[in-house]
Amino acid sequence: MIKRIVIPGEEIKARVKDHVYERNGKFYSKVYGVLIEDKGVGRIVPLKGHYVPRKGDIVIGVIEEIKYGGCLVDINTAESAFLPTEREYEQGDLISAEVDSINEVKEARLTNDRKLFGGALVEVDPVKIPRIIGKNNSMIDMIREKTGTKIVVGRNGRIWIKGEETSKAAEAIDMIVKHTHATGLTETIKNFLEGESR
Amino acid sequence: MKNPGIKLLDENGKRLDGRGLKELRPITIKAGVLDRADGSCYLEWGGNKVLAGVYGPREVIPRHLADPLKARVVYRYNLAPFSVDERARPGPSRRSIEISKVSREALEKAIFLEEFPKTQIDVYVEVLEAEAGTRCAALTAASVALADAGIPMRDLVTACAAGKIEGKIALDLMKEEDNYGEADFPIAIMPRTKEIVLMQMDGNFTREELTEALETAINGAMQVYELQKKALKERYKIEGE
Repeated sequence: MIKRIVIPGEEIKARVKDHVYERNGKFYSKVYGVLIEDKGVGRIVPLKGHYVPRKGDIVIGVIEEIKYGGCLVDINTAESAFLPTEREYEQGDLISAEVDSINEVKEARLTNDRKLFGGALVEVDPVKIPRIIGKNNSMIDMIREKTGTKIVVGRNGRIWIKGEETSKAAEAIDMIVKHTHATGLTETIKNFLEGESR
Repeated sequence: MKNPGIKLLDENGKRLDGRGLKELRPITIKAGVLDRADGSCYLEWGGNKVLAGVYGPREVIPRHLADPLKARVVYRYNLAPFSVDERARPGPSRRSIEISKVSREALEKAIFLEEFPKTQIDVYVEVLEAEAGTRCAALTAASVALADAGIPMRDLVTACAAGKIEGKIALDLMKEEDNYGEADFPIAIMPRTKEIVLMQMDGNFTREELTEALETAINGAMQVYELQKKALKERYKIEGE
């Protein structure tokens, strides 16, 4: 496995699905990211990015405005999302919701809303979220288990934590963000979480 | 401007700062210098010092300027009052508005604007110290900052100028050469395809000189491109390798 940094316009020889564009049969990177290549197949993980809503994503939003038949919710995108709901929310309430549909200008409609009471909110770059979740939720489940906290991870780069050891969980997330591309990260985080709590 | 009797080339063909005709001034580029911006870059190019910050894609303000098909790019080239010998009057001038427009159009060619409909990407470039060739320095820094912000692009944008001094084509003019030389010719390219995205000219060239100047400027830009690449690749180190 080879890892290297690619910049926009750099030719990619490996077969990559996302974050590339094609010109005359050749593929070039669209973004500034890390190419992870193994036996001619690879993927590009952007180093920084923006949240683009996709159907089925779980996001964490802040109620911005109450409208007739629903609310406008800030979900860390340029345009606010609409949440049709009967429930009575107040401006500033924190909710988790699922993206129901996207229109042609990438505005989202939300569904399955749940209000989040108390807790703490951590904001990270949305491109780091898959690493924080881990393969089959392995990383996030480990943090939940070892710190005994409730965690909701939003695809839009917002993470809600509630429980006794909130700060420790937040510190672990911070470590993942700083060392996203390190190998053996799960072990490092495990050791950190199992260490003496200060 | 009339030359007050400065010889721009000595008998060995060296320039005022000892450079050859086809040599660049020293350039340093550093990506990711501002915490509050999504992407940023600090660049020193000879006596030029520029700082670029990129924000967005974010909500378009004022709202009626939003384009439902693509993102809008806002580019602000600003000359700091203390950047030049005689204090520059703060705020946009005729010159800086023009530079902002042509630079914006150059970047619009490189960014995948259609991926962010109804949004705005802000690019602010502050020239902290100016010594000829600031539009090239600003654009070069801006494209590194855009890449650093994670904005999808076809390619980086690299700018470099050529010019004419004492009847000879020279790369990357410095202040005296710009003031007393015969021509200044800044261009910006997308290095992979060498497509020209910005071209301006001040002064006179013959047809042959123009061809040579274009070739010289593209060669210079390719050297600058290597430095941009290096700055981005060195920003992050892959751990555990």
